[in-house]
Amino acid sequence: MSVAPVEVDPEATEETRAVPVQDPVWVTVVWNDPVNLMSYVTYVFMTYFGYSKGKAEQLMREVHNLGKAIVSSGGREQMEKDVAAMHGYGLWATVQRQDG
Amino acid sequence: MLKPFQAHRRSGLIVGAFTEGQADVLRFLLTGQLALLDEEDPLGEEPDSLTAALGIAEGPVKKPDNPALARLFPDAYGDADEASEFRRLTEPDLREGKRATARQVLETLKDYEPGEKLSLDSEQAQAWLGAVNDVRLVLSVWLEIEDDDDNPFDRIDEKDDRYEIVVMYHWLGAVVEWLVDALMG
Repeated sequence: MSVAPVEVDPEATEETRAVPVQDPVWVTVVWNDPVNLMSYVTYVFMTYFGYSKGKAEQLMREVHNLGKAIVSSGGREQMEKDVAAMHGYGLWATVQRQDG
Repeated sequence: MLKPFQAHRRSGLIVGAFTEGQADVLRFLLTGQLALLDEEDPLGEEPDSLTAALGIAEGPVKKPDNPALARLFPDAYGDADEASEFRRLTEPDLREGKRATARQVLETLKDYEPGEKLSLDSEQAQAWLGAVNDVRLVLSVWLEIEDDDDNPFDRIDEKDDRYEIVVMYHWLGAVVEWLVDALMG
């Protein structure tokens, strides 16, 4: 993940630190649907993301119980790849900025 | 009675068996799936060779009108313009991927004799899983399954035209489960 050049305020005092400006973080959100089986969703999370069975089941339960879950985060291009992969598996997923 | 798919440890193959009726149903559904995947094609009816080779549509692509296609290719962004751009760049390849798995399953069933063992390697089993799951999604749209608690058997009885679809929908769910178990086991 790249970090943009540090911005420095010439008026800054000793106490003020320069804050690095970071690229926005993007996320892949998987949405619940009434058709995909829980075992299948778990399988997809393990297979595509390489998550352990425990983590995959936890994410699957979050999708099922809360209606959605963030399954990955990173650069926008990677999230688009992840979402396309989810659609390939028959899940519904969307790309969003991390802060909504 | 369908023998569920089972993983054979020594050969690494996943083995199952189907009755004639079940094999016929699968061939019928997968053939229908291929026809569906050709509808509203974002590359158009006769894409030029570069467009086809790149798998990228030229103009803006909207969400399919056919609800079954819309379910297979949902919006990836809340914003309509971003969703359209994502479709333009990805939908043709996604469609082709789904065509390929459907064709692959049809190929494995081509010379299949009912009652015989059907042996799949891991790659074929994954293609089966994807293709069968996709067909099940399409059937769910026909059955208008909209929430988690909806069991179509509860509202569609034997006299209904759609009863056979309900039966197929549930059977495909079992096939998905067996394949997942075999692939993970």
